[in-house]
Amino acid sequence: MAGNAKKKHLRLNSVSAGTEAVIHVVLGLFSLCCIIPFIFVIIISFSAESSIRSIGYSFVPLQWSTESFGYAFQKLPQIWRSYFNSILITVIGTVLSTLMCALYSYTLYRPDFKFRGFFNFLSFFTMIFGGGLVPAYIVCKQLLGLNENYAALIVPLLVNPFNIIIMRTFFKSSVPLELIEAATIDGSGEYNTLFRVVAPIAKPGVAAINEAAKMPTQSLRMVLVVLIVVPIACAYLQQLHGGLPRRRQLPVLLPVLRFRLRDRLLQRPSH
Amino acid sequence: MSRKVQPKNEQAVSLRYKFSKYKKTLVLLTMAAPTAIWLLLLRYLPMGGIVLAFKDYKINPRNPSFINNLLTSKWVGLNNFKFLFMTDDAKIMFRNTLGYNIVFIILGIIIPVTFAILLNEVTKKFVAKTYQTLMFFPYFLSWVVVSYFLNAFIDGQYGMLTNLQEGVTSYYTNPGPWPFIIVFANLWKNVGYTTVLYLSAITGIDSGQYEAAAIDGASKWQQIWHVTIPNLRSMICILFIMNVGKIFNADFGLFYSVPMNSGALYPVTQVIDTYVYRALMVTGDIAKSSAAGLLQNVLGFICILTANTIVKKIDEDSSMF
Repeated sequence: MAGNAKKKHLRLNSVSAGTEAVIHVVLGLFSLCCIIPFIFVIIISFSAESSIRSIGYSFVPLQWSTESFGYAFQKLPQIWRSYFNSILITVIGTVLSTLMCALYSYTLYRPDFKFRGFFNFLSFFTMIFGGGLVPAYIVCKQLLGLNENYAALIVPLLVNPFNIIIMRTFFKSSVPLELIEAATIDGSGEYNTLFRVVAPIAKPGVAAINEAAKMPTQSLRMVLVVLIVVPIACAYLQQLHGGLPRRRQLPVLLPVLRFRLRDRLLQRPSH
Repeated sequence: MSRKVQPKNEQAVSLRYKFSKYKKTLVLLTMAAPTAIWLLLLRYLPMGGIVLAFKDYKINPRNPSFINNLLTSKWVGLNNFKFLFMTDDAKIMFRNTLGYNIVFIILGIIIPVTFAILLNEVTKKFVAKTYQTLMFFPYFLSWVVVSYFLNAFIDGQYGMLTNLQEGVTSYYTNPGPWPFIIVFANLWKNVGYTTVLYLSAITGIDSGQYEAAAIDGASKWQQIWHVTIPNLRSMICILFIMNVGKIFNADFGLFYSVPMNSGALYPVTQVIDTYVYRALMVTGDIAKSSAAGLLQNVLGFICILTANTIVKKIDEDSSMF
C-alpha cells in the first residue's frame, strides 16, 4: 500500500514526455559535442596521408589506412618511453602525495595535537596567497635542483592544500575520536593507529582525493582507448604539420614527455 | 588516595604521563613534517622572492649566483609596476583575464547546475549514465591534446571547418572568433566534471523533501527552485569563492596551447599568466614578470577575502573561513 503510494508520487514527480524529449535533445547534443572531436581524431588517424593532403581532415576520407599506426610502430621506443614515464610519474606522485596528505591531515584532525592551529594555517594560507610563478620557478630550479630530472615532474605537485582540507573533513566526519583513544589505551603507537585503525575507515576519503576515482567506472575501458589511440592520432596530426614552428614539434604524445620544470609548473591542476 | 600515601610514585606517574604526551606530540610532528617542509620550501620560500618585484634585477658579472644577483641589484621601488602599466600590454592582459574569468564563472555555474538538474530528471538511468560518461571525457585531456583536437577542425591547411568555408584563410591569424573559441573550449573541457559534482550533490538530497513538496502541490519548477537550488547553495558558494579568488589567474594551458601561441592572437589571448611566462622565458625579464605575478597574487588575495565576506553576509554557513 505504502509502496503503491510512493510509486504514484514518483510518477507525479517525473516530468512530462515533452519536457523529457527537450532534456534529451539538450543533453544529447552536448554529449555529442564532447565525443565528436574524439571520433574525428580517431578517424583522422585511420585516414591515408594522401587523402589528407588532397581534401584535408574529413569524417569521410577518400582512402582509409593504418599508416599512422605504422608510424607509431616506428616510433615505438619513444612511445613506450613516454608511457613508461607518465605511468612512473603518476604512480610515484600519487602514492607519495596521498601518503603525505593523509599524514598531514590526520594531525590536523587530532584535537589533542598541540600545533594543530599552526599547521592548519600553514597549509591554508598557501591557498589564498603565494609568491608567484617566477620566485617559485627560481627556488625549484636553482635552490632545490629540480631541473631536467624526474623529481622536477613529481615534487612540485606533491601537496595540494585543498586535498588536505577535504581529507581532514573526511576524517572528522567518519572517524570517531573514541576509536583513537581506545587504540591508544590498548597500547597502539600513533603510526600503528593511523595505518591499522584509521586508514581502513578512511579509504573512501583517500579515493576521493585521487582524480581517477571520481570518474564513472564504466568509462574505464573507453579511457584506455583514449590513452592509446588518441596520443597516436595526435602524433600523426603533428607529423603532418611540417611547416609549424619548432616549438610545437616537441613530442606531444603525452605532455609529460617534456622534461622541463616550467611546463609542469604551469600545468596547474584546474580545480 | 595515592597523593597522601605515595607522593613519590605519583610524581613518577605524572612524569611518565608528561613524557608520553611529549612523545605523542613528537610523533605527530613527524607525521606533519614532510608536508610542512614541502610547504615551507615550495610555497613560503618563494614568497621571499617578492622583493624581486621591487628591484632592478641585474646579473652580477663577478659572482652570478642568484642570491648574489638579488643582493647587488638596486632597489627601484614601484618602478617595475609603473613600467607594467605604461604599456598597452597591461590593459589588454588585465581586460582579458578578468573578462574571460567572469564569463567562465557565470557560465560555469549556470550550465553545470542546469545540466545536473536535467540529468537528474532523465528517467532511464542508463541513458543518464551514458550522457554523464560522454560529458566527462574531455576532462581527462590536457590542453596540449585539446589544442590538437581543435586544430583538426580549424587548421589553416587541412582543417575541416577551414576547408568548408570559402575565403577563410587561417583561424590562427584572425582574432575575431577567438573569444568564442576560448570560452567554448573551456566549457567543453570542464562542464562534464562540474556537472558530475553537482549531480552527486543533487542525488544526496533527501527524496522526502521532494515528496513533501509534491504533496503540497508544488510544480516541477517550484520543486527545483525551492528544494534543489537551496540544497545546492553551499556547494555553489564554495566553488564561487574559489573561482573568484582565482579571478586574476588564467588557465595557462588554455590561453597558451589552444591558440598555438600565435602572436596574431595576443590581443584576445594574452592573459597575466601567459604574459608572465613570456616575459620570463622569451625576454628574460625576471623583475617585470615577478611584478606582474605579485600584483596578480595580491589582487587574488583581496578578491578571495571579499568574496568570502559577501558570502558570509548572505549565508553564514556557506562561507569558507
